[in-house]
Amino acid sequence: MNNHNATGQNIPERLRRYLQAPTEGKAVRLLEELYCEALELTQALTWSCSVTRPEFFESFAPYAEQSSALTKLLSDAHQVWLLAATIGPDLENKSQEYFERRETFRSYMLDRMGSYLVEQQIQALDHEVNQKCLEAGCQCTHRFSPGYGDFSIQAQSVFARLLKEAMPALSLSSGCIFFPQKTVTAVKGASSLRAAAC
Amino acid sequence: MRRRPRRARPGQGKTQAMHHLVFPINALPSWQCVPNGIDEILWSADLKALAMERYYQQVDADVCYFLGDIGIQAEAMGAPLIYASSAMPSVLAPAQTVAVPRPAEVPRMKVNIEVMRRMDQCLPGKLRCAQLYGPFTVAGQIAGEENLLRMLSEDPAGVKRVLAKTFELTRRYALSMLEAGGNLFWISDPFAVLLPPDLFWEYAGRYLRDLYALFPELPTMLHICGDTTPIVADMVRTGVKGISFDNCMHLMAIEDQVPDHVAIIGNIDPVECIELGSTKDIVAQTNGLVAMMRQKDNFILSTGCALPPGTPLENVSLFVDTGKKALAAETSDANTTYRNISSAVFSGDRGGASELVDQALAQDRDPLAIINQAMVRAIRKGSLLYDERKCHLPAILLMVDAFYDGFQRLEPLLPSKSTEHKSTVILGTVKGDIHEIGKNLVRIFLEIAGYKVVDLGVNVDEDAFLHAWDRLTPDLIGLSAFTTQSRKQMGVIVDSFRTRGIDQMPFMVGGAAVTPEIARSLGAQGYAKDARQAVRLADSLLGKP
Repeated sequence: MNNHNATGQNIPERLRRYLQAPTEGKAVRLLEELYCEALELTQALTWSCSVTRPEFFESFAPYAEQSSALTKLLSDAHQVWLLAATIGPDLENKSQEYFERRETFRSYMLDRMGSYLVEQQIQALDHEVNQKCLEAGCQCTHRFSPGYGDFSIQAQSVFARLLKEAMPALSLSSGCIFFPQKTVTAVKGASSLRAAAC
Repeated sequence: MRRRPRRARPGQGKTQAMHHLVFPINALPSWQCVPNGIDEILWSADLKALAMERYYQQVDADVCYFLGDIGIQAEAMGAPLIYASSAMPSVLAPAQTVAVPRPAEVPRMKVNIEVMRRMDQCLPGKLRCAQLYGPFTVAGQIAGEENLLRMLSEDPAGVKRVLAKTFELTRRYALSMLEAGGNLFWISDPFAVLLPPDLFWEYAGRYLRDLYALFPELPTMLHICGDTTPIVADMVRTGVKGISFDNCMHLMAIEDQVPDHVAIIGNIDPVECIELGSTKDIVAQTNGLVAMMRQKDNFILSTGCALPPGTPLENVSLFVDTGKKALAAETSDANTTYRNISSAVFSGDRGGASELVDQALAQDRDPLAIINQAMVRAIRKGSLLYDERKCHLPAILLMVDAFYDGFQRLEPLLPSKSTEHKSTVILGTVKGDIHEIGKNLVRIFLEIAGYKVVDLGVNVDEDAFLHAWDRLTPDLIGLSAFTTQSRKQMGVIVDSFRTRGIDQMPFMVGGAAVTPEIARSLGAQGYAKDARQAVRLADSLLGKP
């Protein structure tokens, strides 16, 4: 199934802690195999773009202005970055398949690995945006995602429109949750450090 | 001329002689067998011996005590006691001057020595327990408990001087009791649990070791009240042949720390179950503990501490009789089979578990017993260890997989499956949310715990829950939500039941978007942060043991 020669080093320490896994033993060996499988099932895709603050509030109306947490976060921003990352459907389909076969360990652990991997993708993208902004003399806020706090999950519908071309395989549930579920979207503000646009 | 303590009868000194015994700790309720008060009985060998004889005529315990009291050694060394007619005496104040008398010169010790002599005659086939208190506990009584604990840092040499004296009295008293006919040496050392675990050995453990070493051929037992998890290894190191655990502990959680040649003794709640519980409680809890522990050859059924003096005698008898019957219900071969299956499930060995289940079925073992005594036991043990952070989540999930592999073989063979379910639970991820991995895990854990679970899936609205309720008459509904927005739907669902007058239906909620406070505000009866907690919550909401 995979060509990886699994060893304990295959699982990053952060992932091991996230999985609540021990440092050695049978479970670790199985997790190493599963992690190789997770990497093979991952089809990572990321997307980002920036808009001005007014453009953002217009596009994400009424959800953005209804969120006091987001309004506060972006209060100093002149620019808003939109971020999205997905690892595709294969991993979660496989997790579901394992569950139906009553392979709880593989199902649950693969799902958590998927959450970790998509988080890795959005973190890398976030870092990339931070670097770009820094080079342009801007500083960034932290990320904020639809569904968190008072930022309505319905804002995902705006992302869905924006991502139509970049991530055509994405679809949105009636509850505004993306399929594949291992998809993360976020916004973050950028403000000038040297009164210069970035 | 001094007699040497008599040797135990052949085999009695070995753990095998203690195999699957049943007894409650101490014999405090025995005072009810004579018309006199405790303060009178404790000073009279005639009254005490009569109380013992009558008590053990009624209670068929395998180990017999002599109505020991915690203050006797401290009193002998100079600490005053306070006596009462219906309660055990207690230490009133530390000793002014500390003496190390000969037991034969101490009036109440003389009484106990005489009682032991008479028990030797009237209870010939029984293990007669010379019950003493440990040097550290007695030191706490004669020096003052707070003072002694302070001395550990301020005057450790002073503590050891006190311990040298309490050790010597304990040694002398033990010799006297065993010479008089005791054939089991028991030490209770309740105060030792207050020692920091890293000081236990220095101030309690090594003294206990030296006492047990005096009687290498006798069965020996040690009881320390409270949670002794951090000192189990040191308790084993004393060389004692049986360790009695408090009822606050889960025996399965510590069983792997106790070697096979040391008995695990415990641990029915003496107060809530035996003294205050109903007949049903006593039978259910006793059978439950035996079902979980009988596959351990080194298990001894007892109470988690001494029975209170006011415990109804019929309750004591019921406990002992129920325990004996339950322990006799399975053969040693069956226990070995269940132990092996349990071990395979616990280690997450899917192939091994299935193979052993097949073998058990070929031996005509009862499928339900295989599930309950072997497979569910393993999951419970794993869950206990997980709760105590001694087992990792992946290991639990491997156990679940091994459980299911074995269960698949057994399920078709179960008699009238529906009657075996505890209750029915409907589960679903609420409308607007499609996250299901957590909900699926809850479903699996509830099923393993014996619940019939109907999983409505994800994105489930209030109408679907109402329809399912109408069709299935569940005992409990579980709602899951991952997102902040979808959790509002939980309130909508709960309200939809209440507005239709369905007030009694309990709801439990969980998921990343929920907290205990939010659960309350939504009108739910409980919140579970994970699958393990969901089972405990379901048990609690539905009043299951």
